[in-house]
Amino acid sequence: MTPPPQVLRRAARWATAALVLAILCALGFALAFVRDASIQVQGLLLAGAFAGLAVALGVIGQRLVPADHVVEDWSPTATEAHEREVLSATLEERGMAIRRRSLLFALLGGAAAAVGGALLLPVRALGPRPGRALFSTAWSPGARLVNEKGQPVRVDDLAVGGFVTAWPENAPSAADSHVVLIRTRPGDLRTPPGREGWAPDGYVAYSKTCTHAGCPVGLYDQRTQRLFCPCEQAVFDVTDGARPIAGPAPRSLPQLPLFVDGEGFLRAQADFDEPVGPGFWERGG
Amino acid sequence: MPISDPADLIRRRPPIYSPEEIAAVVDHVVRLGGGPPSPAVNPQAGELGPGGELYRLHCGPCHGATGAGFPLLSGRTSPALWHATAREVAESIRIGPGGMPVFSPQTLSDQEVNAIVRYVLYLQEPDDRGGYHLFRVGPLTEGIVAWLIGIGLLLCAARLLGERT
Repeated sequence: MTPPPQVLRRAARWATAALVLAILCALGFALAFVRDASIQVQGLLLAGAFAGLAVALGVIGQRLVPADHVVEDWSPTATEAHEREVLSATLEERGMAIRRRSLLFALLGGAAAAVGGALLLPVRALGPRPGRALFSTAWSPGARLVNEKGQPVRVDDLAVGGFVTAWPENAPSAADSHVVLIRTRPGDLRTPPGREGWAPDGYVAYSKTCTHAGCPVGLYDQRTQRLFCPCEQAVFDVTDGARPIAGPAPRSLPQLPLFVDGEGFLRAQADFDEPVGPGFWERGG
Repeated sequence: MPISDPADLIRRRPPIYSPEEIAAVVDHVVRLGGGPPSPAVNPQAGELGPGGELYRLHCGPCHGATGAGFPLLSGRTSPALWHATAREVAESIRIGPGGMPVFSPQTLSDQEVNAIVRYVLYLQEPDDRGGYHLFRVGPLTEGIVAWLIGIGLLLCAARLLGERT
């Protein structure tokens, strides 16, 4: 059943108007883009162009394209019985022929194994193994601590309760070597055994890489002396060797042993004594 | 201000004292001696771009990239910076109120503080290049709005176009 002609004419008018709108908006967008008009104007014009297209296509699909359900009669498509018999007989005969040829059969197995093996090879792309690279950082004995501007940090640079992010002077952008350098109140520190003399003048330096998932531990609360990781809320006690006291971190942040040289610059005694960041298979512990 | 206990959460409230009374109290405490002077701050002398970089390194971890503040430990939060004055920002950097670390002149020079303050003031009236700012709550809200409105419109269109039998 065809809709009355006035409905068709009205639909055609709507579609025409929408298409004209789409063309105008698209041209307007091109002009706005070339003239570097505001991003909002460009967005509106582009949206108008797409909306015009959408309305036009919708009206055409709904009103102008015949939408009647028409059922076409088909003759039965099933294969006739005697043809099926012939086919199955042929398949059986040929199948026996393949099975009799043992070379062909072996090659089939070989091809399957070769293709499967070739598909296994991309596993190699997971390598190469990091080796010992994860066990050390760029800190070397005597390396000065520098701030984000590359300036060495002196012992009187930080106020008590101050903190700064520091790198080794020979690798000022090494991501695994950044440390939070904090000046704690004298007497606040509880030095873990084996770390005597690591924190001159109340300065402690801990790896800034969280031992949970490797985020930068950038939040420092100087009143409660806690470091805080913004990713999964791991909390570390600055005064107690950066021991994790809440959240998902499994280990303390590794501590960098410090000393102050004759000119007052802060220097590292050595590299961290354990790997920084999250755990990995070969790490152990 | 004033808070009744030093451990209390510091929240922004209407000041109880008048500006003259505050000036008098400050004058009295300054005469007691010993504290650092209030830093001279001139945001217009700071550069916006470097200020943004310094903000993201030193301030962003706690106060957030947009200055919206952030929940911290033990029920405390870092405050939003959207109502802070230039002087408040500069004084906080130097003094470290509450749990905030202290940034000495050796860590951040006066020029760098000017740049940071200029960026904080910019964050209060940022140039929203993406269009409507949706109250600057963050990408989560923007995503939810886009999904609800976008998918809602698509559902309406699908219902209009679809054939019901």
